[in-house]
Amino acid sequence: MKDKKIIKDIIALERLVHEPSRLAILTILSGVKEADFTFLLRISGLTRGNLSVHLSKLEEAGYVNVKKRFINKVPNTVYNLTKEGRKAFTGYLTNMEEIIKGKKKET
Amino acid sequence: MSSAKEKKAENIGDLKKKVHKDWYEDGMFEIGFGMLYLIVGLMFISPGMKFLHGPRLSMVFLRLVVVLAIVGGIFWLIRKFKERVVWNRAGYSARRDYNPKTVLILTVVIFLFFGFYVLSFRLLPSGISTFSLGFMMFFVFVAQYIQAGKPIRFLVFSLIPLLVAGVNYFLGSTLDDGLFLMIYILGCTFLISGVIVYVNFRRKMP
Repeated sequence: MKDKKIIKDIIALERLVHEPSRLAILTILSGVKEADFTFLLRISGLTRGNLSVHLSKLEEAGYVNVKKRFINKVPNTVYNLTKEGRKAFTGYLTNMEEIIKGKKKET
Repeated sequence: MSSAKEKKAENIGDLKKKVHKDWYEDGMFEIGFGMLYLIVGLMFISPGMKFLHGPRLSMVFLRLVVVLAIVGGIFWLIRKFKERVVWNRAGYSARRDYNPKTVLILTVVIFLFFGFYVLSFRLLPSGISTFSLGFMMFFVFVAQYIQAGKPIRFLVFSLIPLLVAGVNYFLGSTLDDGLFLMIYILGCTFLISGVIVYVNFRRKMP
């Protein structure tokens, strides 16, 4: 019975957030007010293509906000976590902690 | 969706620490504070700034206003420098806004700090007041060390006010002299450390 519950909890985890690269992006963005593409690229260690694809997916889901601007005439794309994004990220962490706690108690 | 170019995945805690630590890896924080300490230190010795000396309450508040103006100026300079030199190499990130509760606590702590500073002129013997001030600064720097992701150099900074306060106590320095010595040594240490960190940053990101 307990195993079934754990499996159900795992299935209920937000899949969009669960993917390691997206989780890394959300973790970085959760610690800052906003960050640009270069910063995310350097800290996450992802490749340009991968980062761009994952950011698009997060943007489509409404978890990330994109702002385009110029710094000293150079284009700069800035990302920040939306309210929904922050909620999904903290919700994911809480669920994960609960699953781990439940598994620990069992063992 | 993984590539050989990508680094090994880190855990969430490490990644958060990396973000916090990254703000201090261009040396701008230390250079800014070093400049601030050195300029503020001048206020305690320069004959041209005589009007700012003395324990009168109005003078203490005038010092506060001057310090705030200097802080604003340094922040502006650092931001301009970061725009031109740092952000185009390392990328841009802005710190999260503090929540109102933290801002309130910080404001109370700052007022208590200045209240103590004013009172120490009137109530405590100067040796003890410089020593207590050194002790308070030690805790401020330890908090900064933890907040910055525990870089060792920040732990060294936190020991300086304690050491200087001890020296001041044994020398029997006045509060102004003691403060001047403490702020100048801190300013020089911050500035030197900041320049070293900045040079390393430029080596990594030419």
